[in-house]
Amino acid sequence: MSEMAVSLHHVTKSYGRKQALADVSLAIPRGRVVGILGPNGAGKSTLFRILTGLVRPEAGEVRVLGESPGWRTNRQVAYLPDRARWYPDHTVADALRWAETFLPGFHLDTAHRLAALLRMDEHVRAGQMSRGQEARLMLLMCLARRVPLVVLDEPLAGIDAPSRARILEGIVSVLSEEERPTVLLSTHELYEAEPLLDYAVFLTGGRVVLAGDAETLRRQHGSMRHILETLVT
Amino acid sequence: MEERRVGALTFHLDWSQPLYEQIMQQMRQAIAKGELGPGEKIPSVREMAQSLRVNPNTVSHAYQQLERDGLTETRRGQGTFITTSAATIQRFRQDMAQRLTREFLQQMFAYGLSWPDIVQLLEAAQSMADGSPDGTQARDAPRNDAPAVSPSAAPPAAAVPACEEPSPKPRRGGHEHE
Repeated sequence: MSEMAVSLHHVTKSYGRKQALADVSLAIPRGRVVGILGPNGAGKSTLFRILTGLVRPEAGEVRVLGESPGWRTNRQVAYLPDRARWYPDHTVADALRWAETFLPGFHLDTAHRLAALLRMDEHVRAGQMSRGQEARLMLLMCLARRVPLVVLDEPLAGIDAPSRARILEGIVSVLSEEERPTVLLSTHELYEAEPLLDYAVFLTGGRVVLAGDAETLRRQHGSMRHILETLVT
Repeated sequence: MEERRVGALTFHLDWSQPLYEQIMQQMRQAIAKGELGPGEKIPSVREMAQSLRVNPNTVSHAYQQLERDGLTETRRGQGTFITTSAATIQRFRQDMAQRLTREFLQQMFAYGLSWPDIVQLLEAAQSMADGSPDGTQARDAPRNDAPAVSPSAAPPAAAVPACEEPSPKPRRGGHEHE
């Protein structure tokens, strides 16, 4: 088993003329909560799509849990895409039944525990949910999977403050499990999310400009939010 | 500064500093002050991390240091408790106080302040603290009718070259890296 949850070696990906990732090399150790941080268009979502095999890089080598990304690794990856939605006619209970059937590693007990923690009403249909409720449902479906890698693309975007706090608590709660997953997380709500991070990768313009242990970065440079502001301006 | 509560404890966390040190230090202070009494159960790493919304690794790092300090003990299957030995807590508090005093004096001497200067400053500070027993509630505005307080802990003049005293663990700066 690879020591690294994720590694990229000189990875490049362009969309037309726009270079989304430019010669990115990166190694993320297992068991960490990793902030993938950067302004819009920095390449965060592209990175996540490459890790889940949705996008193929033009050059470079990618390893997820020691293998090339694809359907085999995806069984072990819980991925929350940006702006994810659910079937509008499904209630929470329907969604959980669906997940139990189709999502590898899905753990129904964990799902119910998380639903309570996230204060979800299991009878509400996704179509009637607020943005925050639906986001909590999507997150719950990811976090209830016992898999070694969790990838969350903007899990807090467009969500009210109480829901954000619950989502973060939900993430902490799965980190306390005995087999804690590696979590990759992008967010603009850094003030709230940064105490969760124990590793951070800063991307701007498709390049990694800084990466390392969060406590070391705090000691050297200050808060993650401060680092990001410094790098962007 | 972010204020977060865990049970009866209140933490003040600053994201621009290593979080484990802040959690460790504020737990140490709570123990030294008696907010957490001998033998008292402390929140599990999971509860603490969830309430603080902080990475459990960070909390567990802080807890490991408290255990190394001898301030806590983990009982298998039961959780983590403050040591039942009041003497250990007392000794820890004493060590902390001595270390902080030594650091304070070294800094003052480094800026060229003399012993009488320091005593005078301490007296002025004490009158501002308005006689609060531990100085922590020193929030009152400075008073003009400064009472003539005699510092009960006035050190002997011989203690002046304190910076030359052999200190068990010389430390760089005022930071606390463990």
